[in-house]
Amino acid sequence: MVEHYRPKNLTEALEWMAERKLIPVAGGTDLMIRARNWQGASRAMKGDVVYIQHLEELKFITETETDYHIGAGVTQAQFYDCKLLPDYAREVVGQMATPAIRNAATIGGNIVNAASVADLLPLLYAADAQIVLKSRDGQRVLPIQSFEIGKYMTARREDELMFEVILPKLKIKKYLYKKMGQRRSSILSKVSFLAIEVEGGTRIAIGAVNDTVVRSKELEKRINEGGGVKSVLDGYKALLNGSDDKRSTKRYRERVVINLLMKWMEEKR
Amino acid sequence: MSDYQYILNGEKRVIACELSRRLLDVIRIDEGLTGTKEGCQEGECGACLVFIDDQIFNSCLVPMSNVIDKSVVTIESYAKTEEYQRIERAFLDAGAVQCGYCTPGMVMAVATLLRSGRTLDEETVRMGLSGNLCRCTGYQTIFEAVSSLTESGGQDG
Repeated sequence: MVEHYRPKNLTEALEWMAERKLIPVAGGTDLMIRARNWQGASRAMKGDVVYIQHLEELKFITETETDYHIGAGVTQAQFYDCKLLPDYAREVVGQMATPAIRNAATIGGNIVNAASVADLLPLLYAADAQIVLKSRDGQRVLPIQSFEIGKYMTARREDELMFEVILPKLKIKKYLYKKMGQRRSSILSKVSFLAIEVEGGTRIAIGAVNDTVVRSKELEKRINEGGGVKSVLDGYKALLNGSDDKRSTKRYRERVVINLLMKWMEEKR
Repeated sequence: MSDYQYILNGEKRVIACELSRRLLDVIRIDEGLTGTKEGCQEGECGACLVFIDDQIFNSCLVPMSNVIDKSVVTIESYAKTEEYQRIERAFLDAGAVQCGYCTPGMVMAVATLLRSGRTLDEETVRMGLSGNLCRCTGYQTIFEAVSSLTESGGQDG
């Protein structure tokens, strides 16, 4: 029998999570599908559940001089509608899922679920975002690369909840975002490609191909120094190790990535 | 007895079920309101759309925990509003209903578009309805219905 916990506030949620193993459920747009069952039957949750969608402490978007702070409980619709946030970031979120799903799905859910196709992740990798985790005993701040450790795997401990993502403010000179899918809406990406041009040069993050997002500072440096196109493309090719699956083929994904890289480098020259 | 409550179509309800029970199951099975349809069961088709605090949600993915202290409106109640009547008239005039299974959800997505205050050009309408699938594939007449609402400013005649 699965137990259901609905905390009054964040403190209570963290107390409970320190004492027992609980699965956090926010918008439910992924977990409710994975717990699918017959009409009317109990959802097949894989363990005891703690509901967090209603926690006001996780719903905020603020800014400092250097960063945006986005609470884990902010929905994709709220993120997209927030004019405070930069266009390149809002565009990524605006292409996720569908209007009704964006009303339910949270930023934290997309990050902590850690699907290899999560469209927020290339954005967070490119921006060098940080993830703040809270537990009863304190908090930890991890760079996104250290947080996302594999397909559906993060560095979150069982007693921790994601509190917020810290998105550094960047002076974006130019960006290219391309979400490739079978259709434009409500689709899992074949490739989720983001290139941005900031003061320090180009940053490129490639999602939905490998288990985690591909980002190489070494290859970015090569692009910024005007290195040969072929050596850059070969460098990225060597990093891609996706496989054929129901979304696409390895060959198609690589072709798309190479084409987008060439387009980006051509426009940059 | 549970202390958890929510509002369904304007009436207070006590939640007596598991908190993971789908809002869709409560609406269709427990309440017997069958205007909200079950399609794909995974948030793709939009047949199960309802309003929660005036925004559209796929009720097949909403655990009851997430409606506590909120107001849920299904097509049965929404059908009594003037806004609905305008959309219905537009759908009828354009022949935008075939089998009708997607229609309740489709109508609610259209309502959201009308309320958004945005200019309803083709792109906006298509994006606004992108979470609603019509297996009869009668999209064109649905788009025509929505654009007729724009032209008449959403008014009859």
